Amino acid sequence: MKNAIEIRNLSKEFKGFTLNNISLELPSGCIMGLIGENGAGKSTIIKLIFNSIKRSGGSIEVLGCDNLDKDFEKVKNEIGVVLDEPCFPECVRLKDINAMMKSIYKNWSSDEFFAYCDKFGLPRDKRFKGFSKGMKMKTSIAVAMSHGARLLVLDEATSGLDPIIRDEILDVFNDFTRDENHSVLISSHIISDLEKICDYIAFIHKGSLRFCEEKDALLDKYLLIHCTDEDLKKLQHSQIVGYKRSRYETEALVKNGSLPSGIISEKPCIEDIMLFMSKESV
Amino acid sequence: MKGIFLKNWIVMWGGLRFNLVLMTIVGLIFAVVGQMNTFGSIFSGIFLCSMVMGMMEYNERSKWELYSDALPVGRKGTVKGFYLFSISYFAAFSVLAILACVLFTAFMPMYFDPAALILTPIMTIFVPTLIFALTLPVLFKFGYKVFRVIFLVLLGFFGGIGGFFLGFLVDDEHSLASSVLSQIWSVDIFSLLPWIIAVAAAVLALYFLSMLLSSKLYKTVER
Repeated sequence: MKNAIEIRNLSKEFKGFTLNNISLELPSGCIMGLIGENGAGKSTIIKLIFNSIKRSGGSIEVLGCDNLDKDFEKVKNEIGVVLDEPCFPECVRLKDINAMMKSIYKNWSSDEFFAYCDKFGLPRDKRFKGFSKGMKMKTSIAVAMSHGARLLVLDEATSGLDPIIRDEILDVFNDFTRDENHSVLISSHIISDLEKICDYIAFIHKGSLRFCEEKDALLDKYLLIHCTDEDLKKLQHSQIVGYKRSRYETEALVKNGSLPSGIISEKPCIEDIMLFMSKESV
Repeated sequence: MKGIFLKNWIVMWGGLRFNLVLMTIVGLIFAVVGQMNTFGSIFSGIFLCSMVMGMMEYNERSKWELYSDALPVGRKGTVKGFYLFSISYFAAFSVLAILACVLFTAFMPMYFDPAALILTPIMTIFVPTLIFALTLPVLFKFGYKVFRVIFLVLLGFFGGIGGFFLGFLVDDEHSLASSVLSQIWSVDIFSLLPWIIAVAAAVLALYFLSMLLSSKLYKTVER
């Protein structure tokens, strides 16, 4: 199978918000990061993938199956999910979660689940209620990784976690995609995390897809320059993606190309690209 | 469906173990007392519903419903699993109610009443089944918060009627209410058995229809 997820012209209309003709493809064996500000439409896309909300138009194929197809329920056996809030009832313990998931997932592996729990240092005798936010997230991740999933869909899975735990978890996702049949779709506000692990970046802004590109190609496409207002005026208007004026200098994101002499340039990070594109200051 | 059925039992046992035992004892007392009046039987049924609602509260707080959309259970499976779980809990309780009635009358033979012995377990299973058959579609269409309001209104309604009858019983032994109640419990239950079975079957059919309606409604719900 070529693509783990194929979204074509996806749209959804709400009162006061519209998701506009989103098209993106997540190739098998890759990690795609969904970025965008709060309310941009990232979680809406994830909800649409699982039919938590009905789409107004377009199509979604996951692991080769249309998500409106009857067989999609079976396909869900091969999808691991971590939502922004851990969704297990407060009263359960790890052994209860194991029993629950064993009866839900066809390929559930208790050994794998408890191995992940041990790896993450999760206490077996404590109720979910007594877990910290990090522990709860790790539990959700352990569940997502313990049923032979080929695709992980992660909605803000690393939010609220400290950098050490985040790094540990990113390593788990990286290991997961060593198998070329495994793919990850991850939405996060922590763009530095995505920059570490993603092969593709999709930027959603106000319900529209601004870009969906290979990370390295994207980073090569732009330059971050520090200059004066006069220097900026020397640049072609079409070359400037966005700029920010401060008291001492002007910072701008420009398309990679020849620059007038004297302008200092550096490689931008994904966060810079996102910030300049969302400001629409040109 | 099987997964959701088991999950509900695990949550019920994990979170409400103490309440479950306590409420079962209280419910059984009501069920046994129900040998003397309908009020007890109805209230033991309402107790059963409130226990299931305790379990729903856990689901609501954990936002399980959103997560379950991503699980290979399907919305139909979620609804079926829930209906099956509820009726299995009522049925388990009903078996306990029969045992409690038998024990009670073994120690207090003067209260032995074969008619009430038949009616008590029937009431304890069919009252909550009927309440849920009527209200669960609200849960699956509008969510737990609206469902809870509807359930409490229904509870108030049943409680009010029960209180009304009891009040009459206390005030005036020869009131209309007391004569109605005494008539209910003095009828020849065996001659009415076909009717009771028919009503029981109707309640079960209603529960099944309610499940189909809930499946249909739940399919269209957006989160």
